[in-house]
Parts: sequence; structure tokens; C-alpha cells
Amino acid sequence: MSTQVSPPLPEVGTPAVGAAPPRRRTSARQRRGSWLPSIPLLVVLAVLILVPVGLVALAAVSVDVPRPGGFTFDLTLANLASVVSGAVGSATINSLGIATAATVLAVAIGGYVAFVTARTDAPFGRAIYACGLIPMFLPSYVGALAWAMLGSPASGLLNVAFRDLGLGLEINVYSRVGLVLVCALFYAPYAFLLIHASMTMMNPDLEDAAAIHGGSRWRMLRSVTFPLALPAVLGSALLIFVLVLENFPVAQVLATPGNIETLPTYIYRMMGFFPSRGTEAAALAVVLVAFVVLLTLAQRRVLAKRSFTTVTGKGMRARRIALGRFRWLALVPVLLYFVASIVLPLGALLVTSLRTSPFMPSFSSLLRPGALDGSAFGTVFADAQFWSSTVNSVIVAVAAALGGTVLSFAVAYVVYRTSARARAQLEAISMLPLAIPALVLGMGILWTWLLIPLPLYGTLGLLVVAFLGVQMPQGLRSVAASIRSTDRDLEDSAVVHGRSRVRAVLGITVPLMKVALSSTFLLLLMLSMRELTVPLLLYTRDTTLLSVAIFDRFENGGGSQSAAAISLVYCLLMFVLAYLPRRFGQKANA
Amino acid sequence: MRRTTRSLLTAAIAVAVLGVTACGGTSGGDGPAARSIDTSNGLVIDGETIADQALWEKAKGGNVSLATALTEREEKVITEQFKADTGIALDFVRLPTPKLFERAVSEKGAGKLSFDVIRVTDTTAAEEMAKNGVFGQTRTPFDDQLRKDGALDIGGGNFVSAFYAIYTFAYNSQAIPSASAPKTWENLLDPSYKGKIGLVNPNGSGYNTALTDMLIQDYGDRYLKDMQALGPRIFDSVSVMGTALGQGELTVGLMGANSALSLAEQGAPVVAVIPPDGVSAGYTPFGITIKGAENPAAQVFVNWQMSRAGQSKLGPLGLAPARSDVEPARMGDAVLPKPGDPNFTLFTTADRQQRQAAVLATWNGIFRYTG
Repeated sequence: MSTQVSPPLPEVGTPAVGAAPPRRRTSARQRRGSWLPSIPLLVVLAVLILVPVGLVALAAVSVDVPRPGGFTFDLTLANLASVVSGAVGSATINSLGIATAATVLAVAIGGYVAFVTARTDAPFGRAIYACGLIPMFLPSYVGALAWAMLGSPASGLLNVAFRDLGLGLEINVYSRVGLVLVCALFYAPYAFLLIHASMTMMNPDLEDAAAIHGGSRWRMLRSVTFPLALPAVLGSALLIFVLVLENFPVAQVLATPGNIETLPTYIYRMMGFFPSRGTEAAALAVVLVAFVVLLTLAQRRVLAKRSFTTVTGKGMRARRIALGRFRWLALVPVLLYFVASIVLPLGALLVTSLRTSPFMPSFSSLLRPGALDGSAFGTVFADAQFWSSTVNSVIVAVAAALGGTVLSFAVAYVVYRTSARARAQLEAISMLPLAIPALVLGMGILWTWLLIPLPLYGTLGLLVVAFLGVQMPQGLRSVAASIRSTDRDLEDSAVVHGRSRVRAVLGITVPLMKVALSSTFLLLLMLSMRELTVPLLLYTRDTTLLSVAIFDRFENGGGSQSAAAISLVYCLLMFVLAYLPRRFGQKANA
Repeated sequence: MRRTTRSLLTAAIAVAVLGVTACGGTSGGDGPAARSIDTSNGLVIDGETIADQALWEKAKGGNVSLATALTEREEKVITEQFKADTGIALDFVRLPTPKLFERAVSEKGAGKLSFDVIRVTDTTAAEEMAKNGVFGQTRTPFDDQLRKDGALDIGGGNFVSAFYAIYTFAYNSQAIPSASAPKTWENLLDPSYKGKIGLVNPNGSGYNTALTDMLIQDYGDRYLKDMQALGPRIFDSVSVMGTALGQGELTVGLMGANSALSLAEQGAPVVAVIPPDGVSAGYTPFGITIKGAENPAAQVFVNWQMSRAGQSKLGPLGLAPARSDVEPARMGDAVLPKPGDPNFTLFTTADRQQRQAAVLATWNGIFRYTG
């Protein structure tokens, strides 16, 4: 059996053009398709995404913020005009520069680790895979805070170590270079996952052909292997670019202290003003959407020029390149990446959580009596709010991941497996949240759920539905990549033999996609555990999440010891949550 | 109000807060204090009636929802004492004033207001919330005393000032020896602090607006321009700046006395300075919402906060109580300036109405921090 495989493309903001309906003889009415499968999904997506986005769009052209009870429908273009002010210009240039550089570096790191583990004979393949993936479980916000502890100019642990060693070096993470490095470290796993999948599924025939025709190994890589991975490279690059461009927490932790204005921090500040400049922030969000749509179109244009489809089949295995004496040397960059993205940040959190004084002139000061103690962990574990936040986080993350996986599968199925009407609209709506800064989208979600007469506001249910909308792009792209590569013949055969379509989907397609769906669940689980910006606007005392609790502790200042302790516990929880589904999955498969 | 002439006799008080913690006395964070509480005829604490019999009967066993812009640590100290004194449950949500405003006004607009009581740090924000119908009428049995002390000068009956935040500057004592530590506002312009001084964006923060106004009134715009020439680090939150100061990333920071005290109590080598040329002070709007007006427990909380029992919890936190009949703010053995003192520069309602927009425009123009 052979299967058509297309690498997963994180297309953003526009409908899929590649979602070809099945080729069959059909009547004109059948070709137009039915509304039936689309309408319920359109209604759900409208409530989850369109209404909040619509309120943001309305705010962008309104004189007053369109909050409940404050609708005036006084429209203006002045908000859009303010977007072209000088300050926005410099923030835009900074953000574009940082996002571009971080994307290039993240794709280089992720691509390298993916290549080494998928296509070479470097030793410790599973460990290299783990090195590429594990940084994904460390929230970029916590990673940025940890790197601030490591690389702040005067008191960063690395700078203290340099001084202790008399090296005369000083690093400053509150800089453009620092931002680029930290973003690249924590977004590289996205590139790793997509490029690894592409390289693993790559058919060796084309490479064999190149080798047989006398091409050198380098030429084969340059003219066959890397071009075949181009969709995954561009797809991950676009995804990372958009995520870095919009990332507020990292920019707030690293750019603001360095007096570097970025678009997310600029938007945050507009929202942090009193009176809040929410309408201007919304206008800026609309401009960001335009940026992202343009980029998506450019990506499609590049990819549309040629076919990247390769054929895989049972027993096929991608070719591995023998590195010879460089076999071990290839591990060095992977190891450096692991140290920079996991070992150093977690080490910094551990040292900070154990230090009794926030001021540390040298590492030798840690040897003084009383300089270190573990009381911060005791404080964290004794805090009832910590436990309720942890329980809330797990409940919300599991529910949002489950709901998100089901919804993503339903949308992906209708978009890629049916000829139903409004498929393109379904996909476009699903991708919208990726293009809107979470800070602004969070406002839209707040207004929406205050307006909708359902008793969700102030409950964990509100956070679940908010996450369903916000994470729809990632969920859909994850399922879409798999559904497009899963053969539909078996499902159709079951229907031909009398099974209902629903039973065929549940009994055949879903089991076939079990691995992919569990990956989607895991991805959404991690994203929900990490989500900070949206719940910041929606949480109540009873619905505080762990991410909000950490932010609050750092924002409250002076509590960096307990904040570091709770961050470490949080990371541990993330690793456990990431591990358990795999563990159970292995048992189920055994 | 123009600043009154500062008393030359007021000595520069450099409060070595580290010494306070070294002695183990953290006052504000010591947990609920023991009181004389009588509930035989309403709620009477230390001889002062907080709630009459009728109110107390309805409020007992109730629950209060507070939205606050105060730091978690300070709000915890205050509300834990309230819970210990009354047995009434209280939960609070902490948000910066602009976000709290958005939440409260949006919830009110949708008829889903979830807070009984609100405490913010910006009087203009509180006035806007009042205009949007968020607040009910905030009355306490102590209104005569509060009126006399000026706590009712804001809010028009919708909210009062729970206390005053005292804003000054602090330095890292590991980075600066006490002999060469800054003692006056002018000292902060020393070139040695270039790149090592921190301040907080005053947009959306009444306390920092008050501080900026005081500096402009006393020293003119040139003070801010000279400060800008030092390349200061600007923060959105005084707490985050405090962390940077404690870690030694900064050597000096403009901040609340309460924040400096809090940092020192947590082991940071931070010393607050009370300069002879004065400190700024800002109101802290505090009021019952239209939802809280229906909740007797919320009324008891508001009464308690403005009673001697509630007010006496503030001074040890470095916050100036609104009432003059309780102990003033302290740091260790040092008494901080209090309302009415010549070196206590309050940003009054009249000051705010006349100058707030100009103060913020000046600051924004000089520091070019926001668009």
C-alpha cells in the first residue's frame, strides 16, 4: 500500500487551496456539496473565534472600546492612522528584525537536530530526538525569566561566574541579540518537529537516483534532500516568525529592560495606559493580521511553483548518511543546544530558588551559612493557592486538549475529506487566531463571553472555551498534516459495505490516526499549560492557573525565590504531563 | 497644590531596612495581630464599633470578593487580618489598575460584576469606574473622622482613600556604600548612576504620576531631562524594578517606601531614603461596588478597612494610614512623613485636575517610552 504524503504546512490566515475534493463522477449539486457538515462547525467557530475577532476589528475602527454596555458605533479611521506613528515604526522594525533573525536561527537549530537524528548515523538517536523536543515543554516565558537570571548585565549568574573566573566577559541578555537567542532556543522545537517529520517520511528513491548518477553526497543533499524538505522548512519558518512576532511575555522580560520597543510590548503598553488605548491596540492588531496574511501568500507562492509530494509505503525507510569520523562531532552542537535551552535555565531556576538573598556578588557567597535553603519549595507546597492553581491548570489543559483535538479533527475531516460547502471558510476562520496578538484577542474573548448569555464567565469552562479558540490553528494544522497523509480507501470500503459514515470514521479513520491524534492532544495539552496572556484577562481567584500564578509572583517582585521554585515545579509538571500520554500510549499499543 | 516649604529641620533619614530584618521584626508580615474583639452587640474591635448588630448578623459567615491593584503580599497581610478579626471569608483578584478597570467596566456593562469591593492605585481610573456605575455609595461609621483627615476628598461618596502610598527612592546597599549613598533628589542626577537608575512609567499609575508631578513642581522639567540623560531603565511595574534593584542590576530606583520595605524584608540589600526635600504621596481609591452594596459582608470589610483595626495594619507595611488617630507609617524605628507634614507632598484632586495631563505629556515627551 502506498500513501500520498504532504508535509504539514502551517498555512495561516487564508483558506487552503490544496484541499482538493475527491475525484468522482458527481452531479452538479453533489459537486457543490452540502451545508450540513459545515453549519454546526461554522456556528461553533463563529462563537469561539469570529465574534471575538469581530469585536477586535470593530474596536480598530471605533471611537470607543466596544465593551459590553459601551457600544456606540461611532466609527473612525483615526486609530489606523495612529498606527503609522514614529513609535510604531521603530517597534515594527525591531519586531521584524528580531522575528526574522530568531526564525533563521530557530530553523537552523531545529533543522540541524532533525537532520542529525533523522538522516545520519550519529549515535544516541533517541537522545538527540529528546534534545530537539524537550525544550518545547519549557514555556518560553519561564525560559526568558531563567535567561534573565543567567544573563542580566550586572547580576546574571553567568556574569557572576565570569567575574569569579576573572574572564573579563559580560553578556547582556536585555538586548536584541539576547532576544533573538532566547526566542530561537525555545521555538527551535517547532522547526525540529516539522522538519524531522518531513525528513523521516522522505522517500530514498530520489536520493538513490542522485547517488547512482554520480552526484556527490553534498550535491545530493543540496539538490534533492534539502529542497524536498523546503515545505517543512518554510512552514515552520512562517509559524516561528508569527509566534516570535507576537510573543509578549519574552519581549516583556527581555526587551523592556533593554529599552527595546517591540510590537507586543507596545500593544501591552497601550492596553496598560489609563485611559487604555484599546482601540489603537486593536488597529495595530489588524495591521499585524495583514502582515501575516501577506507572508502566508508569499509562502504559498514559493511552494506552488513545484511539487514536493513524495511517495512512501510500508517498510520504506529514509536513507541514512554515514558521517564517518564526524559521527561524534555531530553531537556537539546538539549538546550545546541542550545545555543552553534546558540545563542552564533549569540550573538558574534551581540556584535562584535556593538563594536566600536576591543579591549574589560571587558564587563563593553561596557557601556562607544560611546562603542556601529549600524553604521556598516548602512555601510553595504549603500554599493552598498553588495546589488549586495546579489542579485548575491540569483540568483546563486536559479539557481544552481533548475538546481541541475533537474539534480540530472534525474541522480537518470536513475540510479535507468532504466536498461540503464553506470548507475554505472553515479553515480560514480556524487559522485566524494565529494572526492576532493574544493580548488583543483576549480582550475580544472577554467581551464575547460577557455578552453571551451562558453562565460560563468566571468559571474554568470559560478558560477552556477561550483556549479552544486560541489554539485552533495549531490543532487544525497538526491534524490536517495527518489526515492528508492517511489513506481514505479503507473508510470508503466500509461505507460501501454498509457501515454508516460516522461509524466508519470512528472505527477506521480515527484508529488509523491514533498516533497523530495523540500528538495533537499532547501539543494542545502543552500549549494550554503554557498559555498565559489570554487567561490573564479572564481569570478569577477561583480559576487562577499555574502560569498566571508564576507571572504574578514575578510581577509582584521581591519574590523571585518562590517564583523560581514554582517555575521549577511547573516545568516538572510539564515534563510529567508530556511523558504520561506517551507512557500510556506505549502500554496501550503493547 | 504647590508644595509647601519643606522644613529645613527635617533631617535626611536613611532607613537601613536591612537592620530591621536582621532583628527579625517584619511587622507587616508577621501575620494577624491579636485584638480585643466583642461580638455581643455587633462587631466591636479594640473598642471601636465596626458593624452594628443588624449588619453583623447579616454579614456573619459571608464572603467578600475584592479586586485590587495592590501587591499580593501587602493585600494578603491586610486581608488575613480582616479574616482573623471577623471570620468572614475574602478572596481577592490582583490586576494592574488599567486591566482591573477594563474587567470591572466590561462586567458591569454586561450585568455580571463579580467584585464586591475594589481597590486601585489611580484616582482617575476610579472616577471613570464610578461614572460607569461600578461603585455604589461607600459609607462607613467613621466618615466624620475620615472627612476631617481628608480621606473623603476623593470619590464624591463612591470611594474613599484607604491610605496614601509614599513615593521616594531607594538604593542597593551592596552596590553603594552608605557614606556615598544619595540623600537628596538632586543627588540622583549624579553621572555615576548612568544606566543604573530605574523608574516606573507613570501612565496608569496615580502614585508615579504624583511623584513625577512633585519632581516637576520642585525642580522643573529640567530634572526629568537630566534624568533622561542618565539613560534610566524604565519599568511598567515597581515590583519588577524592585527585583532588579535587589539583585544589583540597578543601583538606585524611584519607588514606594512600602516596596523598599517589602524587598528588605525578603532579604534584598535595599535601603529606602527619606530625603529632606520631601516625598510624594498618592491616594488609594477604595470603594464598595453596586454588587457589594447588596452584600453585608462587603460593607463590614469596608468598615473594617477604615476602622482603627484596619488602618493600624498599614503603617508597618510602609503605607501612610488615611486616619490620623492610628500609628503612622514606619520603617524600623523611623517614622515616615504623614499627611500634614511639610515633607509629605500629596497629589491632591485639584493638582490632578489641573496638571495630570500636562505631567504625563511632559514625561512621555522626555522619555519617549510610549507612542
